[in-house]
Amino acid sequence: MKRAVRIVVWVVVALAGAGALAAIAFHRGEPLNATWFVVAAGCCYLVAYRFYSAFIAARVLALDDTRATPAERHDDGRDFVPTNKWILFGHHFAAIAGPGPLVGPTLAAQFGYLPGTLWLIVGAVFAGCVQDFIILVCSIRRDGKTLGEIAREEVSRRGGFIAQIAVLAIMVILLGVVALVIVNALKSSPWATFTLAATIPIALLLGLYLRFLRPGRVLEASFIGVTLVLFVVVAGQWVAESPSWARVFTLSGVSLAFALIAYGFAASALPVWLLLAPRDYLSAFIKAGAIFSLAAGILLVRPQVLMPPLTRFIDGSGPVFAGKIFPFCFITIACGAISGFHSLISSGTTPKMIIRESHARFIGYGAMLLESFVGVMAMVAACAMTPGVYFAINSPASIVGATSDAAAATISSWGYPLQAQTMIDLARSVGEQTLLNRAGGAPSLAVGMAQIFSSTIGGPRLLSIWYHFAIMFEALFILTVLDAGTRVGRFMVQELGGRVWKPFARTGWLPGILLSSAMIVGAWGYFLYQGVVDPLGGINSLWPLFGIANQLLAAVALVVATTILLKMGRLRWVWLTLVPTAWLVTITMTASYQKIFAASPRLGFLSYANALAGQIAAGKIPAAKIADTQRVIFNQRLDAVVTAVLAAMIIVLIAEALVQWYRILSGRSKSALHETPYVASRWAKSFSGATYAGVYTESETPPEG
Amino acid sequence: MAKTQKFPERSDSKYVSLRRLAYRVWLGIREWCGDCAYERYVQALGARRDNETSPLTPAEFYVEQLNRKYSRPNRCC
Repeated sequence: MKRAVRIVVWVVVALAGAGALAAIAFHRGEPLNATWFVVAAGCCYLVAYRFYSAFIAARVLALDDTRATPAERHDDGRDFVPTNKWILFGHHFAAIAGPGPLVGPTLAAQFGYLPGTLWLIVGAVFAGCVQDFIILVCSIRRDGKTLGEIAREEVSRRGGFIAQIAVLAIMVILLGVVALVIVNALKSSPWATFTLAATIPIALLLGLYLRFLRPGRVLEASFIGVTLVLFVVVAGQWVAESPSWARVFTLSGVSLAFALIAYGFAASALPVWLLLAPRDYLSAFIKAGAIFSLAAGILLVRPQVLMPPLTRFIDGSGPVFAGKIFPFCFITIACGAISGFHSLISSGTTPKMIIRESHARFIGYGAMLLESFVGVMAMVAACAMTPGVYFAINSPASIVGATSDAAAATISSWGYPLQAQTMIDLARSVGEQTLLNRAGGAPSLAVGMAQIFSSTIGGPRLLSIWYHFAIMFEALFILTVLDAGTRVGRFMVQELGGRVWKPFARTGWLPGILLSSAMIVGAWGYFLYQGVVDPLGGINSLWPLFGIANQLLAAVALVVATTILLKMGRLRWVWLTLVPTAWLVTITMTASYQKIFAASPRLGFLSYANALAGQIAAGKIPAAKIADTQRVIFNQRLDAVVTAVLAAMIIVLIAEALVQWYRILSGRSKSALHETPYVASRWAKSFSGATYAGVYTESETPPEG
Repeated sequence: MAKTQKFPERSDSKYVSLRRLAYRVWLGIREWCGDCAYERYVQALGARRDNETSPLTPAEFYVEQLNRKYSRPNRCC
């Protein structure tokens, strides 16, 4: 009877999901309600988790709860800490959820709501979750080793080196891009700039409190910090209304870029307890609160999605970024569907804290589903505003013009009606001087969030407070990625430098700290600066570059996973990782080729550089602007070289992997897995028969290593 | 009468289970944000009966833990 009820329930869930997906895909005419998106995503995730992840756990990975995990074997209360699966889920989700799933879908909304939403759901279920889950299990069975170490052992030494370089490359590009998102959100906004600047002394105060007054009392310090941050969000309005203070906090893009570069250097070189860690605590609480509030707001308000399912810009002529729907929709969405960076978390802290192998399904697969859901919500928030407003906020001045009248005329001529007064009123209602040309995704997402929040609490009166709360939330946790990433990048530079000159690898050596910090900050700072001075808005060039680097790292992780599945003798199930790998390689290589060689100057780095060089040669550029133009030409050529290097790395890695796979399949090489030997879990008996009883069959769980 | 006798008992048990749930949530939040990391460390030392190593003070442990945490990728894009 129970079985029959279960079958009926799952059939209903599957039908509801399929029905909602069909509604999203085939609905035309009247605006669609956001509830369809929530139902479609929720039901697909439930079915995928219940069946697909259970299949991977049982048939492919043969998870074994009798096998002691690293947390049990090495429990030291420091790195290896046995942790409740719900708590660990929270840790893992907090670590993987960054600005990507918010910014990517917001930018991809230029193609309409349909392609992005479908990829967020399908990509997460069949690629992103699978990658996170399998890499997590691989790391658990190898004492919590990192992706680079696993690649070195299971694929080849060169594979490990490529993974390491790919991580450093993605880190540099990522930091440059997310910093650009902050710059575009804070540019000419005294309220937002003051709020974010005020979080620095608040973080310092918390740092001193946690270090000297109440060591390690994170909860009470965070409570004080969050209260202060909420206060400065409100206080920002007083600053914006005071002419003298507003002048101090009204900064240009270039000034903000240099301020962020200085901040990144300080966060990397200063003791971690002083600035970086307390900011991370603040960010974690505000991030969790804002994401859950957004989900609750969408469920309560159920806004109408005003963006059409497909826009005219699927042909590649989009104003937000250039490029056709294939491959740029997938490259732009990136983290919400699959993120290579997650494999670093799945092979970092999480595997050292997991109690049982079977928890990897909930944590690895489940947390990525939640991240994808965040992406779907960002898509809804972006598509809930009128398309004209969306394009006015996200398009650079060189395309739509710098005034409300020009932007309204251009955007209306595309078929998305927009009144100049609408943009003036909207900017005034959110307490900004202008919302035009604020490329990067953060301001438009903040407008979308503010509209949803103010429909729930406060009405139009609180729109400006909600907008600046949303900007503060985005900027605060982007800044956390920036400072934590800069510090990790510094360690990577020191490690690589240590291979050439040993003292450089000493993490406590001051000259080494300062030099490596300057190197990593200089690298991402350069990308940030070129984005700020780029007449096309920077995001057009840099976000696709970031997407390519990110998806490249995901391809690296999936190649490693495929190799391990082959070594485990799972040839029958190898399509599970091979299909997403092939897809990622296809989109990465196509995007790389188009970004380098496309004939359109808006899309191709080289053609843009050549077009500008031609303008200089023809005397069309005024003498005063020649130096700036030459800098843009150099930047475009540099971006082309970086893209080519990333593409070359994936080709080398795939060649390495193909050789390895041929050797394994032809029996020429001993397909030895480098797993740690089986140790029986002391906890197995007390945990047996819990959540996953019945999922794993006797034959699928090896009785011994 | 019987109804009034039964009610307090049931609401008491509900109250107790609610309190238990609230306490578990509180513990979960403390563990999630790292508030009880030092307690876990001392517990782990005790479980290993590591008498030779003198435990770190809360302040030393806090700094050491942060230095380790922020030396590897721990925040994603």
